[in-house]
Amino acid sequence: MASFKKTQIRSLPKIGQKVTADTLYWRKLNFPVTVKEFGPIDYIDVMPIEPYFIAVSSAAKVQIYNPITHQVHRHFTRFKEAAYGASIRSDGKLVIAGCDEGHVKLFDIGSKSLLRIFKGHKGPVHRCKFTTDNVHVVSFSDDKSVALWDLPSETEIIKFSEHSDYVRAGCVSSISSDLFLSGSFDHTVKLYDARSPTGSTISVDHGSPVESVLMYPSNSIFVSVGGTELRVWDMLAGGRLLARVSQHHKTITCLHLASDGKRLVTGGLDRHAKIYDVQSYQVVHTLDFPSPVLSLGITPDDFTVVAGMANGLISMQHRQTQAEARALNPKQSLKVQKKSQTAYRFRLNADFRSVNRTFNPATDVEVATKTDTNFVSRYDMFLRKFQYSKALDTVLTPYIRKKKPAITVGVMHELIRRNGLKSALAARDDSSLSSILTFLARNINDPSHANIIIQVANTLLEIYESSSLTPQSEKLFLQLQEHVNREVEYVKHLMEIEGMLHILLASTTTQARRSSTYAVQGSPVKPMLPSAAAAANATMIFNVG
Amino acid sequence: MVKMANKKTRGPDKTQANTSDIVVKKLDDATDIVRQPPVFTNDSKYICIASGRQIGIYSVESADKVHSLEEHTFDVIGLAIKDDNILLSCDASGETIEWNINNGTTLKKAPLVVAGIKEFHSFHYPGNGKVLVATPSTYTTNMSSLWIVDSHTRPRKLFADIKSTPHSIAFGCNQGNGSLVVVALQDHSVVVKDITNGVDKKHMTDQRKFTCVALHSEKLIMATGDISGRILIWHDFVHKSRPVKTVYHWHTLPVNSVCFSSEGEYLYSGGSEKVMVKWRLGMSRKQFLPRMGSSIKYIVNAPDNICVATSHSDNAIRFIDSTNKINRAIIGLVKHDPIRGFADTEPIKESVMPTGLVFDPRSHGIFFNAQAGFLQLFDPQKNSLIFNMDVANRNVLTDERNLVIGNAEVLRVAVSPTGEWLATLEVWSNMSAGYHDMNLKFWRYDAVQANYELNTDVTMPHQDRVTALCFQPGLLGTEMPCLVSIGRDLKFKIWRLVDDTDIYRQKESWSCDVAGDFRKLTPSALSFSEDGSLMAIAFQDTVTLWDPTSINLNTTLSHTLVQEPIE
Repeated sequence: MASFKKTQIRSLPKIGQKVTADTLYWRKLNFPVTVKEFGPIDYIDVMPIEPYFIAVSSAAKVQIYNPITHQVHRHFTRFKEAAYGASIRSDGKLVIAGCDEGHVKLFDIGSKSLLRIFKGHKGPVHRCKFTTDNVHVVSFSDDKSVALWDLPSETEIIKFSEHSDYVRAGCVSSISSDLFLSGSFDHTVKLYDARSPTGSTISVDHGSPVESVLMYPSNSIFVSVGGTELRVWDMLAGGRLLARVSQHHKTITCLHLASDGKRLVTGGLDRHAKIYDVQSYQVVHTLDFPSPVLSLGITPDDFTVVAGMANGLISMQHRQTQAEARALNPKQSLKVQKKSQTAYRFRLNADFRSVNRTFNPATDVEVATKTDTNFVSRYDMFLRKFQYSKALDTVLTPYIRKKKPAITVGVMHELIRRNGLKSALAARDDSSLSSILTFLARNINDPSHANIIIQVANTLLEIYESSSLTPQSEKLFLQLQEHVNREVEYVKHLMEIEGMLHILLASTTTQARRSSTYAVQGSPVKPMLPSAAAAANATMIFNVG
Repeated sequence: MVKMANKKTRGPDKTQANTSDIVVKKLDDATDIVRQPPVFTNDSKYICIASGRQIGIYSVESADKVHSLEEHTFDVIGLAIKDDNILLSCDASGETIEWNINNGTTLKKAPLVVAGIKEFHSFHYPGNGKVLVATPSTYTTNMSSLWIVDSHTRPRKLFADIKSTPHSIAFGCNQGNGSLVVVALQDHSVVVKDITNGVDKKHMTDQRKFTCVALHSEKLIMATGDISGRILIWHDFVHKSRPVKTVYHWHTLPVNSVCFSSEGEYLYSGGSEKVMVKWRLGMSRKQFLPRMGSSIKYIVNAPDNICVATSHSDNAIRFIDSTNKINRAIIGLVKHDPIRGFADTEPIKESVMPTGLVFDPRSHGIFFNAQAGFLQLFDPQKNSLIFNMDVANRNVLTDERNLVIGNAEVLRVAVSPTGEWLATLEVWSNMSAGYHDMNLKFWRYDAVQANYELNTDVTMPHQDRVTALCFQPGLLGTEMPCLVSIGRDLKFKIWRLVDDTDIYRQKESWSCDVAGDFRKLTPSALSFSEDGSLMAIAFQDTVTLWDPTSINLNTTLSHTLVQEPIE
C-alpha cells in the first residue's frame, strides 16, 4: 500500500506476425554466405560430428565444404554424368554418391580416393545411405528398385523392386541397421526390413510423388513430403496417417530435423523453408530464399543452415554469436557492459556484507533494513512529485514518441485521471508544442488510443484557442485538423460499406427463417411461433466476434 | 436466495419476517474503531481502542486483540489511562468505568454529575483526579461547553461554544511544576485557560477555521491546524496576548490531526492527503510517510516515543515504527467512502455501496466495496475480513484544494457459480472532463496461492456504463463459463472463456462472444433461470427470454399497463 504504483501502459499487440521464442531463435541467423555452383543443388548432407562438413551434390561433382570458412574442403569429380545424393558416414570418414550411370561410388574423404563402386542398378541412383552399422549401403534408384549392399565385399545383399516408378527418396533408421524407407514417384512410401526379404513390411500412399522421407530418431514415426503436402505416419500402428500438413503452395522438395529433433524443416519450390513444431505440426517460423529450395542441411547444433537452390546457389547461414551481436549493436553492448559493472559493485557490497556478518546486533536494537529500490521510470518519478509538465516532457522525447507511443498515451491518460492535463499542456513554447501536435496528428487515427488523444487535443485547443501562435504552430494545428477530417471521411466510407453488408445479411437471415417455418408446417405438432414482438425482431443482427 | 441470507448491514441487523431458516446474527455494535482516538498504555505495550460501546485492548507488538471490554450501554466518548494498569472510559450518558488493563475486569463504576446534564460529547483526563468533559452547548447546536470535574469541588464550566470534535480540546504544558493548561477551539479562535494560575486568553488569526489543536506536554507550545492546511506553532501563548507563531505549511487540504511526540521534539500532522508529516520542531526539516491508504483522522504517539498509531478513515489503525514505516495494522471492516462526482439521477445506493453484497460460494463470504478501487471479502460467520483486494491497481489520488479528483471505483462484481471466477467492473469518470474509463476484469482463484489472479482485462467493455453483470449458473465445470453484461449503450454482451493455448504456453482468456440489442431499448435488469438454460433481460417495460447457448429470442413478456422500467 505504501509503494507508488507504476503508471499503467496499455499497449495492444500488433497485428501481424507474433513474436515468439522460435521467431527470435531463427531470426538470429546471420546474412547468408552464398556460393554459386554450375547446376541445381540436388542434395546436401551434413556430417553428424564436428567439424560438421557439408557434402553438396550438384551437376557432375560432389563437394565437401567447411561450414566455418565456406571453402571447399574436398571435391570428388570422378563422375561421367551428374552425381546425386552424396551422403557422409556417421564417423565422417567415407562418402557415397549415386550417379546417372547407375553406380554407387564410395570415396574416402581423407585421401580422396575411390574405394568401392557398387554396380547393379539399371537406372540413375538419386539417393544412397549408409546404414547405422556403417558397413552396409542402401541405394534408391530410378530403375524402381531399392538395394542393400555389403560394404567390404562390394556385393548386393538384397534388392526390392516393388515400386512402379522412380525411387527418388529414401532414408535409413537410426536405431536398426535393417530398417529403411523408400519414397517413390508412384505416390507410395515403403518400409523394408532386410531380415524379411519377401517384400516391404509397410506401404502407405502419400497421394502425390514422394520427394523426401524421414524417420524420427525414436523410430516410431516417419514423415513423407511430396506435392504440397507433408504427411506424418505412425510406424507402430502399421502406417496410420497421423497428420497432413499443407503449408507450402508449391512442391515440397526436402525435409530435415532441427533443434535436437524438436523442430521439422521443409523446403519447397515456393522459395520458403518452413519450420514446424513436431508435436502440433504448427509452423513456428518461415525462412525465405531467393530461389526454389531443392535441398536443406542443418548442423546438429543449429549453428549453420545450408540451403541448396534450383539456380545452383548454396546459401549458408550462421547463428549470430555473442561477439557479433555486440559488434552489430554497440549501444546494447554498452548497456550489457554497464550491467556487468554494477554487478561487480554489488558483488563488492556482498563481500562487505559477509565480512560484517560476524557482528551480531543486540536483540533489543531495531536494525533498519534497506528499502528495496525498484526501477522507477522518469515519468513516474515526476508524477510522484506532481510535476506534470516535466512528466509529459519526458515522454515527448523523439524516441518514446515515435517508438513507444503507448507510453506517451499512458502518461497522458494518467494526467487526465489526475486532472493535471491542463496544467501540463499550458504555457508551452513553440518547440514543445510542436512535438505534442505532431504526436497527436500521428496517433489520432489509432483506434486503440483515439479516445485519450481526442481528449488531449480538445484540451490543447481549449488552452491555445485565444493565444497568438507562431506560424509554425498554426500550421501544425491545421495539419491536425486535416488529419481529423481525413479520418472522418474514412469512417464515413466504412459506415457506408457496413450498411451495405447489413442489408445483405438481413436479407439472408429472413430467407433462412422463412424456409425453416415452411419445414415445420408439415409436422403434426404445432410449433411455438414467435410472438409478434419477437417476429418484429427477426431481422435483428448480432455482431459475432 | 443465499445472497439474502448473508445480508447484513453495518450496525444492528433487522430481523426479517418469514425467513425461518435464516440465522440472524445480531451484531452488538458497529465496529467503527476510528471514531475516537486510540490510547496507548503507559508501558506502550497495549493500545486501547473504543469501537461503539466496546473497548478493545490490542497488543502493539502483534496487533491482536487481548481483551474486549463490554460494559457500557452507550457509545464510548473517551478513553484515558488513569494509572499504570487502570483504564478510564466514559460513555455518552456520563458513566465512567475503571478497568484493569491486565485482566480486563471492571474496577469501579461511577456516573459523572455535571449540573444535571445527561448527554456528553467528549471526555479527557488530564490527571490528578481532574476530568474534562464536553457537553452540548445550551444555545448553539453542534457546539459544546467544556467542564472541569474534580472529586472535591463542584463542576466548573471552562468554555462555552467550542467545537465538539475530540481533537478540538487539548491539555498539557505542565512546565515542570505540574500546572495545567487547557485549550479549546472555536471556529476562528483558540481559547486558553491556565487552570493553575487562572489566566484566560483568546487568540485569533484570520478567517481560516481551525480544525485541530495539540499542546506540548512540557513547554508552553501549542500547535493548531486549519482548513487551509496550515499548522501554526504558538510560543508562550498563555502570558502574551500576541504570541510568536511559526508557520508550518505543507498540507493543501485541512489538517485533521496534529500531535506532539512524547518527548516533544517532533510534531506529527496528517490529513486527507493520506500523508503523515513528521516535523522537527525548531528546524525546517520534515519527513513524509506518503500513500497511507486513506485519510488520517487521528495521530497518537506512544509514551515510549517509538511507535506512532494513526487512525484512518477506512476503519484501520496503523502503527508506524521508528524507521518511518508502517509495520502493523488493526483493520476493521473497511468503510467505503461514498463516490463523489456522480450525476444526481443516480440512486444513492450507487454511490454508497455500488457492488451491493455478493455471495461467494467458495468461501461463504460476501464481497463488497472497500476503499476506492478495492474489494473486500468478509466472512459473516466469523465476523472477520478474509481479504481486501486491489482491483484497480492504481495510485489512490487525493483531492486538491478546490478540485475533486475521482478514483477508479469498483461498481459491479459477479462470482461464477463455482467461485472460481470473479468478474469486476471498475469505472473512473470525470463528469467535468466528459471522459470516462471502464475496465471489466476477470480474476481466477488460484488455490495454491490462495488469491485471485488477473486473467483478462477488457478496456471499455461497453460504450457506456455497464449496469449489470451475471454469470450463467448451472454449468458443472465441464463447460466453458459464460458471463452476460448489460450496459447503457443499449447492448447486452455475452463473454465466454476461450482457450488461447499455443505451443509455447497454456492460456485461457475471456472474449466477447455475442453482442446484441433489442429494439434500441435500454436493458435494465438481467437474470438467469436456476439451471442456466434460460436468460431473462428486462428492456425497460419488456422482459425478453433468451436461450443462452444459441442466443435465440424465445419470447417477450410485457404488460400493457406497466410503463416504468423493470429493475
